[in-house]
Amino acid sequence: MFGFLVRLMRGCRDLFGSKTRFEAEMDDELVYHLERVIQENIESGMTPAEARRAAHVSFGGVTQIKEECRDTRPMRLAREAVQDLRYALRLLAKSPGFAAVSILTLALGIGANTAIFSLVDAIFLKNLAVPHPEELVIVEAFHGEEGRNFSYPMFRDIAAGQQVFSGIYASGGAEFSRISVEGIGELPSAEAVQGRFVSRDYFSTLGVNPAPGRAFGQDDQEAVISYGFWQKQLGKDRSVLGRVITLNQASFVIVGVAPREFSGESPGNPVDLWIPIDSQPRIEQRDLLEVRTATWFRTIARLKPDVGLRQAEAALTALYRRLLADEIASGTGSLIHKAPNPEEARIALSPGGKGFSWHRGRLSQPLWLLTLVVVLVLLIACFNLANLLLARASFRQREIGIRLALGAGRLRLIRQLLTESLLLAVLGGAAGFCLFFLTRGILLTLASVQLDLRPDWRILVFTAGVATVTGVIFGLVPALQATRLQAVPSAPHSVGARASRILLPHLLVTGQMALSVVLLVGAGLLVRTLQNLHEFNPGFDSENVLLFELKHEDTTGQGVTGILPEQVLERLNALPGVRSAGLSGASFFSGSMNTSPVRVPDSRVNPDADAELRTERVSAGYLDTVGMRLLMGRQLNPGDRNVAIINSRMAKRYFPTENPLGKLIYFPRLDEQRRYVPFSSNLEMEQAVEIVGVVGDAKYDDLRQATPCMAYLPLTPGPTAGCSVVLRAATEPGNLIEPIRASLRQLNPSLSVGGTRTLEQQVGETLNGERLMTQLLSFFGLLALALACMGLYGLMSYSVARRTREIGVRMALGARRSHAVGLVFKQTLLLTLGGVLIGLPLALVATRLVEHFLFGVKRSDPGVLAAAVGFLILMAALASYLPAWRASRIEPAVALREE
Amino acid sequence: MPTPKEDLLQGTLDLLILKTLALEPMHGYGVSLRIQQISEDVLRIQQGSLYPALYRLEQRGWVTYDWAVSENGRRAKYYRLTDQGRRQLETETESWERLSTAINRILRTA
Repeated sequence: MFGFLVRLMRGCRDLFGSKTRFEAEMDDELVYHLERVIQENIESGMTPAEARRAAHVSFGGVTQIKEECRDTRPMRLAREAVQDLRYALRLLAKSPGFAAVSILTLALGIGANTAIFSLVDAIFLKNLAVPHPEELVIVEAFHGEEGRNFSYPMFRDIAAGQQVFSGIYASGGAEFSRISVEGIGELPSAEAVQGRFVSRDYFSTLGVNPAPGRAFGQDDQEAVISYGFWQKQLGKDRSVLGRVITLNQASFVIVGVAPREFSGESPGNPVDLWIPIDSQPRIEQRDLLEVRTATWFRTIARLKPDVGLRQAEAALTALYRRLLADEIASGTGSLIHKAPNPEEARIALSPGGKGFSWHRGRLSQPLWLLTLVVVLVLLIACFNLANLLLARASFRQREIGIRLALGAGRLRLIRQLLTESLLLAVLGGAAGFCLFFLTRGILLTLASVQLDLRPDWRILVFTAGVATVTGVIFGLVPALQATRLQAVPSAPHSVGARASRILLPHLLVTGQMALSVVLLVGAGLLVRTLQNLHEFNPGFDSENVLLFELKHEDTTGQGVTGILPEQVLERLNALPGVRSAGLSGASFFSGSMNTSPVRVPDSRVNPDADAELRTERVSAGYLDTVGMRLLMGRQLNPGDRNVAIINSRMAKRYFPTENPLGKLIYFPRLDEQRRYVPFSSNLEMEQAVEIVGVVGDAKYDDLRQATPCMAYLPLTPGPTAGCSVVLRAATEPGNLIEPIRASLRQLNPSLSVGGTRTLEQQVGETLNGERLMTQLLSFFGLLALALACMGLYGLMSYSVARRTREIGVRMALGARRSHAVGLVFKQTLLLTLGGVLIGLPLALVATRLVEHFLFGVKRSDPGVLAAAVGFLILMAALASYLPAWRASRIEPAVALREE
Repeated sequence: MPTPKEDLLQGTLDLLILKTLALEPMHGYGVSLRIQQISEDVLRIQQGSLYPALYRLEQRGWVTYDWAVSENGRRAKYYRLTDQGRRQLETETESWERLSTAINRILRTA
């Protein structure tokens, strides 16, 4: 055992310690032996000189003996690798400029890949931090092709009737307008707090154990908070356990803190606190628990270990069809228009181990595209490095030639050269990792996701892998190339070696230029798109418009409950700096909408009978405030009932030739469940509204979508629990928020103002994807171009240095300085044009990937293509300016004296 | 310089070195000298085979070494057997004896 340790230690010293220990011992030992032989020879009568000679002869080649001794040791490869590494480190230290440029280049390339990977990993690849995530499934119902969630009563029935899950839970979003914690007071940003209504088996199904504290018990007044919430909002204070947290007006006792690594089942949207689903009626205005028409949560379950996915689906589908048939029979079904056919209904299970995330749909295409882009950037970086190494190799031709001549194996040399490039790659990878670490915040902001991008082993392994592959890619060709020459030191001057040696760098630079063209064209198209979207007239005017939500919270339970629109508008219009204000049911440009079946008997054109019309309930002044132009008729007035203002598209569709004013639109009645009652044959029985005005078309949810037919109806009279407000200010509306809050609280202390943002922000948010893509693609496009120009600069400098003599001769023969400059620029232009010729067709194909992001610009837009190519040529000319200038400074006399 | 009178069988060198070192710790020069003396100059060991063999034996854990002052007052690398080397010597001796008995028997009868 002890002997083993001694050998192990000697082995380690051998590998990493100074090489001299092993070598010195060997030297000493052999010298000792040699001396004894010499002594022996002298004693037998030789002269000292003879004795020494004879001893050496009898000894044979000392170097060979040493080599054989060395070979007996284990880990020869490892030892040689360490030796190569030291050599590589010494070489790098000797040329710090080269080292800095290469490491920076690689850091940018690898860092970009790490950054994109970290996002992809967090959103798409990583499992939830729960035991056995592979057992989790997302439970969804399908009616034909249409997917839908369950109502809570249906969920309860399924949970009670199923036998395939070891646990099943419902999880739906909860928002709060006020949060206060006992002993701490009201939290400042209640709206930003992500709550989650979860059924009782949530934590047990997931296998998550809150600590400190515990999961919910049977009490529906208990809450569990997330680690992040505990840390950021509650100062990581253990004593908050057992305290009361008041959400809106409902009180809960904090009973536990979820583990740090668990932040809900939706990557990118961390949950702050979980409350029992039974408490939903206490938080929200409307009790959704017993309503079979409301679907507002996701269902996730854990399969029993011995149950297969298909088997479970079959069992659940049978159960669901039975429950659905009962539901239809009892007339409480969850469907508005068409009664479902239970035979078409089925339950589908999909793997839920990675949770669900709406970011997946939103980011999958941008991320896929970005992955491609960062790979391109890395490839350009590799080309650069390969070129640098090729140039360096030409300076080391002599060294390598000599080593080959001395009998070094080519493989051994390639291994050593590869070690050098791998060292660079690893250093570059480390720097890239740091770069990612420092810039990940920016990345998350750009992608607008909330993720904990703490570097973990997955990211480390990825970075290391990328660095290694990179090192081999950029190192292999130069290594092969450098060791190919004959083992004769004079080889560099042979013509054949020179031709292939010069061609490869040119090809690499041309390749870089081509890839840069692709990225620049992509970036250019997206920049155009964003410009177009900004300049596009959406049919409304977002300048100085403020949006907010108004809610009425009944804290007293007495007096008038609800918001009285006339009072609110009167207050708002009275505020200094407010031009006009209006109210609506749903927030403008938020994507939420109401549709309703309608009948328009006055229209000659009766489009399909099932026609649905989009409607919005608005107050007087609303249309004017958002800046929609009135084309015909009049605006809505306070007190209007049973009138409508339609948009131009609806007017054109239903009344292409007639005047729509005064025509009637029929809406169906609602029953007490707020479901539409089908139209009766006698339309006189239905609710009719008269068209009193026509406004211009506008975009309502998204700048790209076609404008739908739309009707604006007056607000339902009387107080309302919540509405959305638009307000046009004389100047920037930001500083109006506080006066508005104060004024409305004064009007009624139960009113709360939330979700304040400008219309520009609201519209801007719908362009997040485009902006993300544009910014990142522009950044990477410029990065790629910068790298390519660095490559070009290096190549031209090298080429000028190599042609010094030739240019000197030309000048001696009477060529002008401009001729020398021309030589350099001509070469640059050829390389760049070569890149353009390859790059443009590539770009035309590759931009197919961004096609659906584009707006108002074609993939082959000549302006964008010309701008990209022009920019490339300009930058290439700049990059070769210095080498050209140097060429023009060549003094014939000096140049000819060289060599 | 006399050439080796006998070529050593593969593996026999290891046995000889182990046997030599079993008597007392010895440096490389001493090992070659002793083998030469005991075999009465029949066996001469080339340095080119001796040292790689010593390094190999050390690698296998059969011998180890210390530096010590030698008979001429210089520091020399003294090899000695490990316990494992001692066991190895026993097995190798046994198998060598079996082999040589067998060969002798064949030579006598044939």
